[in-house]
Amino acid sequence: MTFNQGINLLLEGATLTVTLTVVVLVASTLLGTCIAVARTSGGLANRVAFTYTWLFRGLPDLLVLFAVFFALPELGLTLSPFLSAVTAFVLINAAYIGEIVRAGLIAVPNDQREAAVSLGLSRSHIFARIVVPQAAASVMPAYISQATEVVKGSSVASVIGVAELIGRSRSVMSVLNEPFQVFTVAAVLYIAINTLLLWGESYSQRRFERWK
Amino acid sequence: MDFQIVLDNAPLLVQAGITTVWIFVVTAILGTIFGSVIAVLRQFGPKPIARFCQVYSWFLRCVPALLVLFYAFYGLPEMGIFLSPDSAAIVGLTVSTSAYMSETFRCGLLALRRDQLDAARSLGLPFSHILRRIVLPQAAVVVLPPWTSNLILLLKGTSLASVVAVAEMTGVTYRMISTTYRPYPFLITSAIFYLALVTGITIAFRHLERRTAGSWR
Repeated sequence: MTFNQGINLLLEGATLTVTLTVVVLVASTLLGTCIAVARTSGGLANRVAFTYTWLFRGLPDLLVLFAVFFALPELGLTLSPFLSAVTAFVLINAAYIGEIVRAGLIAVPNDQREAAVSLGLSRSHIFARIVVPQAAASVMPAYISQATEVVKGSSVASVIGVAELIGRSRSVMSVLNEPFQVFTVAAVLYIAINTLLLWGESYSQRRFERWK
Repeated sequence: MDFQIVLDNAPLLVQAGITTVWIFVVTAILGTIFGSVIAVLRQFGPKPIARFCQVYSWFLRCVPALLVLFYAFYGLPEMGIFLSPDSAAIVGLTVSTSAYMSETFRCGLLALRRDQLDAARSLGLPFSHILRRIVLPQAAVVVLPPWTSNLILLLKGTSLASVVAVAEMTGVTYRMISTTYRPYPFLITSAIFYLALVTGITIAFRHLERRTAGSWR
């Protein structure tokens, strides 16, 4: 293998890292929002959501990944390594994103909801058009920072054989036998992905200004 | 579900638990020391050093901890430094966590009011004295909550050491699953281990937070 072939393999790995990140972010944002709504409501839903958050923020990513990868087949549900990784990361990140979204929901002043109710807007309308836009504006920095955690956390998937950036750099490294060069290329690719995310944050900050 | 198999392997699991706690404690102490040194140098140090600390912290927070671990495990031997897997894991995790810690401590320094420093300087206190008696007590109140969450992330991060063949809790769990083909008992035991530690740390530091907030404000 030449160094150029190695770089191509690393770029493929980076593509898979991005794919993994996007899928995980979309799914865990949906699940996380459900958890946040459950947390702000009272009773049993709140307690279930609290326990969920406590559980998945308390366990190492790697352990959750092993649980999905080794234990689910026992229940008759065999997932590919990629899908196992997606499932595990969604379970974990939904707990973190749930807390971020909850902070955003709490930050929306209650007068806003009361004003919307007095105008006769429906509940779904109030949530989608009044609460979510304002909450989104205030949680964006925390959300982007969690997104960079997803990018970095996806590296754990290499342990169960997903050929994302870290998995690829490990196999390329073992062939080329140039750990410093290969890992530095991988580091540059990670920095590139995370820098793109941070640009996204400053862009979204500017867009959300008009909602403030 | 039969937990007899866990009891049969208890000595191995206890050893693994001790290894996890050992790696955690060592990296937590070293990471805190390096993190605070980097934060102080970035805030008060001469320009080139401050700049270097900024790049250090930015770079390490951009790449996964696993990559830093690989640098330590595969990269250092290239430079003629041969470490055992345990030491490589400790080096990698310390370097990675020190960057996160330094940001936490920098927040504490930034939260400090400028006139406090000016007042201390006008009283003619030496720098080490200012740092110890003026900066530290006030910064500690601000820093304690994010420092605690850094510690929890670090505790969970020690599981990465299993990737470079350290026999800590997650690694041994994996080994047990692949030799016994009985995932559930070991996964549950390991989960209880981590949850107990995380919950213990959370409760202990919430207690500490309340005490510091009361005495230093």
